Amino acid sequence: MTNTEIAEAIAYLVPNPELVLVGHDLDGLTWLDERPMPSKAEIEKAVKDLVKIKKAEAEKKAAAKSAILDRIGLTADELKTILG
Amino acid sequence: MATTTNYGWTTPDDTALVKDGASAIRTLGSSVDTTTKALNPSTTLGDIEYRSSTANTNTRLGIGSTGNVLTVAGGVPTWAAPAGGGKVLQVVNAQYGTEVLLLSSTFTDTGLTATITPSSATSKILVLVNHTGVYKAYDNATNSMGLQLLRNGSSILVFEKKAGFTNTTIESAVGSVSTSYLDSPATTSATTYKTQFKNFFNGTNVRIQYADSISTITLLEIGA
Repeated sequence: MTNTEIAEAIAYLVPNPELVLVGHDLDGLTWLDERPMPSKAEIEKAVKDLVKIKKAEAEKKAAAKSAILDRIGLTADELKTILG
Repeated sequence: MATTTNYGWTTPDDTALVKDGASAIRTLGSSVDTTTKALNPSTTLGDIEYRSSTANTNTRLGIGSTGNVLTVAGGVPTWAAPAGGGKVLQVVNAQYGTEVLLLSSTFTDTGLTATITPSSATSKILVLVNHTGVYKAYDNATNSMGLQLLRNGSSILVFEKKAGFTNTTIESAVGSVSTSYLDSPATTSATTYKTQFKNFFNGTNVRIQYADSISTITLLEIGA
């Protein structure tokens, strides 16, 4: 897990959290928020969930893009050439 | 009887009939001896004299100790140890290289700290700070980082208020932020300096020592 993934996962569980993270793992986490701190397991699960969500969003976006290109009968490269 | 102009020694007048020449010479010699001793009271190798508040009477100043310099105190010369003014008396250096991520608008320790014990209460402490890896995350246009310097837990300088501010939602890796501060702690007790940082908008994070870059703090004790 990267610090970015940890921060995003915690914000996914507790919006706008207050915390400090020293180092690069959850052992360095100090919870400053008044709301309950999510467990280590919950954070680790949220990291995995977000990876899946981001992957699904990327695939959904790619599929939508592909569908549009199919409808207009062009490839992505051909469209780039046309648009300059 | 006549007297000399400067020291008032008694001498026979030109017209005086000197009955006892030897006695007159002894009297004059005694006066000269007394005056000379008053003007040269030194007794020891290296002694010097200076004028006292009494006319024609100097004061002896005994030789000073090795390394002493001549100075003035109370309106008269005196020997004293040379002042340490402006000299670096000691140096303390520390570094910290662990990334700290913060989601809070309350000042929080960066991990960078150093302690110095001044040798004199009149000494000044020159604090040099170089914070590396100053970073503002994406997703918020208004976020930026504040940094402050503390002595024994009390803030003495807020040296950065908007590090990383871009007015856009893109991330901002600033790099280094430095400061210097001349402090007068007025103590000979151990004195701890440290830095803290904070978010101005804690919806996104700020980081310091990003990617474990090395921040440093240097404390120089300067003699008064």
